[in-house]
Amino acid sequence: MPTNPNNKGPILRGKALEVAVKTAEAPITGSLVKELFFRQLGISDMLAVDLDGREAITPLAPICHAYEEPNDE
Amino acid sequence: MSDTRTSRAYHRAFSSGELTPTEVARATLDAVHAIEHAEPELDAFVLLDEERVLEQAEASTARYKSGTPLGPLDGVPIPIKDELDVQGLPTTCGAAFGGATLARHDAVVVERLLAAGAIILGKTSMHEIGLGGSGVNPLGVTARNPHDPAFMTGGSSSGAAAAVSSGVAPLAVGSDAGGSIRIPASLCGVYGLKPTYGRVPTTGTHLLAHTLDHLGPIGADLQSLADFLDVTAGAHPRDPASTLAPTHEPIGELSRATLRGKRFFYSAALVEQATPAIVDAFDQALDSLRSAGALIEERRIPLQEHISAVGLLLLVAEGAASQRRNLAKHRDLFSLPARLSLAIGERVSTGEYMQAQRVRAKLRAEVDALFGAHDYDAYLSPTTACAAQRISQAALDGGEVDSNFNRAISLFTFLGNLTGRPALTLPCGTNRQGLPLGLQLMGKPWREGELLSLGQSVDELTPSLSTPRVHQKIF
Repeated sequence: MPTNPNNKGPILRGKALEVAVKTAEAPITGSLVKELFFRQLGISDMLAVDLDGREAITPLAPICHAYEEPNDE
Repeated sequence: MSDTRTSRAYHRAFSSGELTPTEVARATLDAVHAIEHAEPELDAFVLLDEERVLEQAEASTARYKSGTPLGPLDGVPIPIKDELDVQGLPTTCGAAFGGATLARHDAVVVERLLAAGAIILGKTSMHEIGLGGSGVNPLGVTARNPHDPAFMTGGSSSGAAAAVSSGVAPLAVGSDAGGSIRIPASLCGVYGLKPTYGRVPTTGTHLLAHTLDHLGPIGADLQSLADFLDVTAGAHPRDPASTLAPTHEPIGELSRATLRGKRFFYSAALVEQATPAIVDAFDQALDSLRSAGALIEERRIPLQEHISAVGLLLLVAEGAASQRRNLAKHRDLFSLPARLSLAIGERVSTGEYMQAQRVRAKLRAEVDALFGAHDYDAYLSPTTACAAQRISQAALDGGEVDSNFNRAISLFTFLGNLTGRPALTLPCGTNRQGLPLGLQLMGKPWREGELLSLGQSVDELTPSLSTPRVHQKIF
């Protein structure tokens, strides 16, 4: 996925943006827009990341607990 | 930025009796009117309570006269992003439906700034609900870049960066869920700090994404960022993350850290995704650091290919959750780009959200391990992968969605939000159009003082910028 804005991808504006919003908000077609968004931004690949047994992590635990520096002792 | 006075310059002028806070407040109000009536107007501010500004300035003047100033921010005018409550004023969050009621209390940060004697200089414009990195707000106020008003400021703390860059304030308050302090600071050629998650309490702020959002300063120099932190850091019982933070040791006067022997790393694979001008400016900065004796290593950041995906998924999902009531009541009053992002966010499943948080937890642990294993002082990157873009009429009229821009503008900043580590931006030259570029340093958790000291030394090596095209000299 190029991120350099000089490598222009499609830019949604005007009528095309209106149609995209209506499609995204509609009950049946909304999932398709989400999938497209996920694929375009690489989110689909992230959802397949192997967590090496870290599924047990409580992801919403206060982030500060993770901040003890290993070399602080 | 030599023509923009720093917050310490204000303090020195007040302490020496050269100027009073009242005189400076009057000059500041005139300067704000001047930038807001320029052609085109800068639109950095959405609200200015002149009466209150002068009242606070009079009180500050009295304190200096009696030899009892409250500290380095006493009498310093500081505008507030329109996402934080200021008692008696509306908080719009840049939304067309916002501000129907007046805030009953000050946000904790505002309360602490007032207690330190600062003058609350109105509310600044922002990207609609903070959901975007351009600062272009088709249904609200779009701030313009003081270096060239035809160009965007970056967002979402767009007006805050424009206010500092234009010289009307030495310091402004912003918030940052994916780069919203660092992006506009970088695009407007000023300094910005996203502190460690939990360092500055967010109570009284209308946050977009609760696990990503931070409050922090945008300033005319690094010392003003340190002064902001010394006044606003510290636990507040209504912000659970802040109650778990270690006590903030005041930074005070910033010392310059020696760069000799300091250890930095960067990711070549990420840097090469930036525009050529940004890659060149970054390479020059690395060369200067090496010449000063710093050790710089190239490293792959664990899971780096997933950073944007995790950040964007969490941002739209948490954004949709925080806007649930507003979407039910006012969906038609959101711009089309915001509606599109929020509609996608509403469809993120619990399983997808949890996977993103778990990948984030793994990323955080592996970045901690990388820092620890090599005893790194900081991670270096450009602040953004692209410079400010020209504001298009289509974007102003109905909004536009440019996925490449959205990813490029936050490519380097999301890592700080996902790990919670402190990250700052400082000016790092310009592109061929004369638009500012930024250098980002991300440091160790809770060590903002060290990071700012490092930044102070790095700042001496990077090219200084010319005075912006739209600029006011207060004194």
